[in-house]
Amino acid sequence: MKKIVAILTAIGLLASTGSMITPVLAEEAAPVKGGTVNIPITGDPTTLQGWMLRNSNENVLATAIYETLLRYDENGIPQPYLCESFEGDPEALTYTIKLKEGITFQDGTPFDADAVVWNLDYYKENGCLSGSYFGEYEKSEAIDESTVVVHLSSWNALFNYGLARSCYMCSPTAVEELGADGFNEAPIGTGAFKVTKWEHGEGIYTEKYADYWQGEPNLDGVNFMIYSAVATQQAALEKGDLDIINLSGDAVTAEALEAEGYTLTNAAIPATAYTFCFNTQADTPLADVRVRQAICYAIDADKIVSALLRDGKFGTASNQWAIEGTSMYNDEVQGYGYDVETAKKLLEEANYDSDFVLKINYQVGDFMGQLAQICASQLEAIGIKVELNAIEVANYVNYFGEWEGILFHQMGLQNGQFSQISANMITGINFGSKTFSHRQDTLDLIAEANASGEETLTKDLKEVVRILFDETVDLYTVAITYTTAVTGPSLHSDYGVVQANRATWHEMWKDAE
Amino acid sequence: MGRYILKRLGISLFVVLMVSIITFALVKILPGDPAVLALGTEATDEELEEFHAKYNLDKPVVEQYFLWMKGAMHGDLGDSIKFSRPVTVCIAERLPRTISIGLPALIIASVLGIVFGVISAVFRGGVVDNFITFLSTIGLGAPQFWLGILAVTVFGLRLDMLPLSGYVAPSEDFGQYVYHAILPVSILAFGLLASVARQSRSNMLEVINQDYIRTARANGLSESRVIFRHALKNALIPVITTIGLQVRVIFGGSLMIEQVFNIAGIGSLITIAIQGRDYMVIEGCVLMISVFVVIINLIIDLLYGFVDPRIRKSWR
Repeated sequence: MKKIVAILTAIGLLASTGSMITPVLAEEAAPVKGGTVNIPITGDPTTLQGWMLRNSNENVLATAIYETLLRYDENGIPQPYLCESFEGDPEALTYTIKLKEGITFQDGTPFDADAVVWNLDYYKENGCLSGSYFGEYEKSEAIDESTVVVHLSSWNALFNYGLARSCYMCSPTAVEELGADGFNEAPIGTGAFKVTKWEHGEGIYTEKYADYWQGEPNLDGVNFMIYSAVATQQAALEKGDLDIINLSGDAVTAEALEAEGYTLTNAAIPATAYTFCFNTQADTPLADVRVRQAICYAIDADKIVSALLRDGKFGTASNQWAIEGTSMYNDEVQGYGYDVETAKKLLEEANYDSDFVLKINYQVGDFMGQLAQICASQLEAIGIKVELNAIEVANYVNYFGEWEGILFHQMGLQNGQFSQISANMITGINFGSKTFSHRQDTLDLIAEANASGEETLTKDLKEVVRILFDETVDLYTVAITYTTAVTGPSLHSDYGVVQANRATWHEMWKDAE
Repeated sequence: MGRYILKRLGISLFVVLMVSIITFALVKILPGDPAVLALGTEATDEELEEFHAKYNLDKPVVEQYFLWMKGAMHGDLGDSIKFSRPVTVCIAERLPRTISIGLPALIIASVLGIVFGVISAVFRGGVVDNFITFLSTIGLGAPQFWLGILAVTVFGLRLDMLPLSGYVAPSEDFGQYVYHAILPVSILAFGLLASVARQSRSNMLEVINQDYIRTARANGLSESRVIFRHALKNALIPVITTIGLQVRVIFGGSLMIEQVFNIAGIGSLITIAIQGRDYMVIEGCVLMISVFVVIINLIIDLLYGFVDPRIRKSWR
């Protein structure tokens, strides 16, 4: 019964967020104990240290091994996970965390207030996103065995996003005994699966943690195997060497596998917003907001989504970095619907109706390449000649501070629109430092949002979204893609329902072979 | 002979040194900051500076090179920027995999290539010659990654005869090693075989038209004796050069083969290192490969002497 309720809830969540694919989960058969599930990663993780996990390969395996104090719900809002409650007091500049009881690390040591204090202090010093989320963190103290109070130097309303995103709880005992390097090879978290071997270049093997706080996992283990190419992953899935693969913006492969009987599941939290980031500051036609508006009007986003993302099946159009119907979506954003005549008129008004060459820079990738080509052809319809600049992955970061024309950026949405707006559309960071307009009212609103409670934060950041997408037109979203988990019929799990790569790991099971 | 070897060693050292300098310079020209790639765009300036200092990236390029070379001369190739592990450990983990795929491929390709080349020359213009020439043309012309994907699709997926990918060390389970290595070794060997077969064929054709071969036949020697005793030995010298040059393919070819067959060898390590601007790993791998190729070439040079007495005489 509990499982059916969970399934219906998951389906409801998906329906409410607009994702078109619903998982086929309804199974009344009793879970089978044993077996191993293989999930692909495209390369070796850079690290397995909980405080350093951030890249795509690390995200695939992170939540099976480690857990966070908070984690995102289907709207991308952090909710208590390893804790019972998480309450902020902007006046006192504190967050009070009440931990769940009975949780232990995979080495048997208790997950208590002391462990959390140690983890937060350690993350402040060593964490990969410490600069972004722990800037105001001063210290934390254990009030009793299950209560932690975090002290901030100034209020940070987005601290909870940092905790949910990458502050994975590690066993302090294991880190101190093994050292950071040793812990890297034998990480210990509170997750349902414990790393038994990291075969560099081959994969990461885990076994179930029998004393897992939510119950003994059904599977014996989950392995994360390196398959660098999607084509190889697909073949391995078909042969049974893999049980799950993740796709994003790859409708062809997804539909081919669906036709073979595989189940497709879109994560409620979308994957990526393919966004035009305009250089508004250089002395080019783009400095004129009418030109930027004209470009937005010239793009037929609905047609693009229809063609490449199968009418919303694998993604959607949006006028911001959130999907309609979700809590971070601002209904007041008007956006720029497809209107070639208005686009031409705006260009004419701005005196740029001819001899206008626009450079669009983007990171190489199949889906991105297709998008860029289509956008270029649509812009040429209003007389803008487009020069496409495909940039190699390693070189792409060099374009972050300043670019010529448009940076066609893949903005990750796993942490939600608010987090990305407040982290990226400010001064003092590299991204867009010389290209975005950084209008004072947006900066003030972001600052006020960060230093306020939930209600003001939502109101302020929604207003920033409206300004950036509608008024200043620093940003224009061409399409938003979902992460689609492809699973075989023998696997029973909520893998990838709420967030990409995330599952209720201990409940996952496989039909007996 | 000792003097000759010393001279060749001196040249080899110079070659390795030049390769390391050129590689270091080329890698530094590549755009992209490994610190940003490793720490992400949200990293603060302090974090980036700390990262640069840790890997000597804050020092002038020439100083970086000398620091690296100093370490290399003591067997320390530095730490991988991406994996935070010693480069020597990364290479040591992966080298056996590359060798255990590349070496059998080279041996199979060399033996079969010579045999096919001889057969092709002896039966010039016949069905066998045309068939071998046809296969050689495919081997030389078709890209390895394409052949690899084709082989995976046909033998791995459709016929379900062989594994799609993966690797098992021969020391772990020799049967499984062979089972997993059949496809990658065959694809890697195919291109090499074609090259050796073509070279052998053309050399044999040249030799068997020489006067001394005609004389041998006129003296009543059997055809097999003429071919294997007199013609093949002389035709082999350029073939040995070809095989020597193909040694680099053990590493070069592995770039593609390892990607297609999911083998974590040196080729995939170099690919990851280039993508992540992991200078230390790129330098370490290139140094290791250049030393390996130079040693093999030295051995090949010495082999000439054993095959051709005229060359041996010139050493004196």
